[in-house]
Amino acid sequence: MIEFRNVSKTYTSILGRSVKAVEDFSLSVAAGEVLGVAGPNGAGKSTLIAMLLGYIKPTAGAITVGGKPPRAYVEDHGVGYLSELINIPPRWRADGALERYAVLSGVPEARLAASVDASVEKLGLEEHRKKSIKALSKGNLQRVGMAQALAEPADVFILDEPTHGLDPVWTQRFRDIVTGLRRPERAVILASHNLDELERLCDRVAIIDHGMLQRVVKTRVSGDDSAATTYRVCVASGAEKVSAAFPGAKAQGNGEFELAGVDLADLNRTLATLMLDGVVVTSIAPAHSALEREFREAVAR
Amino acid sequence: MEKARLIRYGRFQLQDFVIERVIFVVVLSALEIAAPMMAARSLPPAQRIVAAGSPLGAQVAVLFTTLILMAVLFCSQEIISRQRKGGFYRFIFAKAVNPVAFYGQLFLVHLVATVLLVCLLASIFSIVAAPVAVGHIAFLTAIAFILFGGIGFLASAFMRFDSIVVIGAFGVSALGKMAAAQYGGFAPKLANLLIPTDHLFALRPLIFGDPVHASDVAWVAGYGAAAIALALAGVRYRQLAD
Repeated sequence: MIEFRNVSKTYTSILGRSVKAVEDFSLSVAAGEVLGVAGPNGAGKSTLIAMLLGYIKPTAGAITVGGKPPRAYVEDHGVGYLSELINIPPRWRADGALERYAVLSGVPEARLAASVDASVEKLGLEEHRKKSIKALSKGNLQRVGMAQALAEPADVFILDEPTHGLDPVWTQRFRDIVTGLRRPERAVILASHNLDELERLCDRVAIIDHGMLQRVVKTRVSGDDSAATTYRVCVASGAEKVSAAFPGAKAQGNGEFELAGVDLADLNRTLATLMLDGVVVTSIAPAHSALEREFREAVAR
Repeated sequence: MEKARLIRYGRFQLQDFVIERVIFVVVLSALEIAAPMMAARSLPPAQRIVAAGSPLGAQVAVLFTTLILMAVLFCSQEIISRQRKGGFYRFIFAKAVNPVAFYGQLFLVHLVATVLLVCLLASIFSIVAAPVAVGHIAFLTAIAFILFGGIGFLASAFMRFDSIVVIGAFGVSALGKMAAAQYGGFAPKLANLLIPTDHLFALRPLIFGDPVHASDVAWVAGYGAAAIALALAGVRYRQLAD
């Protein structure tokens, strides 16, 4: 669906000073996939997205979306796009902005009002719809941006820092919305600094740094990865039995243990035995996610 | 499909134009037009004749020249660069929209609305003070918009501070043409490459409804149309973002 082939982008100032924003970047995103893009500030994420939308052109290499150059694809099909900075003329009213974007998305006149109402309701903007853009808080502005992106009946969605400025309730709702965006024919690209978010929502995460693709991490934990993972196990009762069953366990207090280098299947079997023996397990989770570990390694300087 | 969307979007472009540009022009025009209008009303009806050489004609010529220039300059600038500066293009051009068609339509909306605005002001002047050639004034406004707006549109497609560039370019062209006229030989021919301010000035008789040379109209409209075409080519082949 989306393909980057040896893409580079160099910005050159009037004084001739060059900065390589993206260097020799190659990656494919399949239809039906949700790809995360992670990287430190200035890693090149926004430049990649701007090239993918055809707003800027690569200095070298090629990008195709649905087999076409990005600009041609966007002009033919449209893309659901949420930018990191929400740039909407400050004078426009929130519902007026959604109406304009809906017209450009091809919503017929007869369904225009209903479409705006649905967007407003979906993003919880009822009490803010009559406000001008400049009167909206950061979180509400983000929701207006999201509403216009979601109104696009697109096969490609590009969401850049979508939960930036959202409160915890809307962060969670947004995650549900992105989960609902999954379709077999649709590719979703999600750029975020929030690794936990990327791990929950994406199939793979591309880690970039210094404009280069450092690695691509599959977010679904496989049995092979488990031995290298440290797990955090919490119990409500029977802590002493956990210590006895796992001699290497590090007690963290309050019934919490860190178990390093344990095979996932063995861990499950032993915990099952412990539970039958009366131990009450309240949670089990990786102490550090695989993505977090990979990210730290990839951007280590 | 895309064409229909854009045509429907035209009403929002017009709405923005009215709020962002028309109100300012109307307020300034009202201030400018009030005194000459009152002066004309104080004349006996027989003397309220707007023609070249008539006492009122000189006043009206200055009034409408200033008014048209002000309206055209204010209404034609930053058509593209305002979107780019504010980053407003991002959501718009993520939709299935062709930027060339979008900006082309935006230019057209500004052109038609500016002509209608000047027509309205000229009509008010005709009704309240003395009859003027509204149709000819509308035509002059359209031609002036194509030239000023076209140059502004071109500058706007490539840089942020296009207003300053346009005013500077017109100033340099006017001075360059005056200087070239004093030299003779190849200089006046070379000066033809500059913005045709002399041909635009030659269209002033339109204010009185008098005839003008078709070649002057062709120079002004042709130069402006070429600038518009180059601006649209810039939109097509240049990056949408800075």
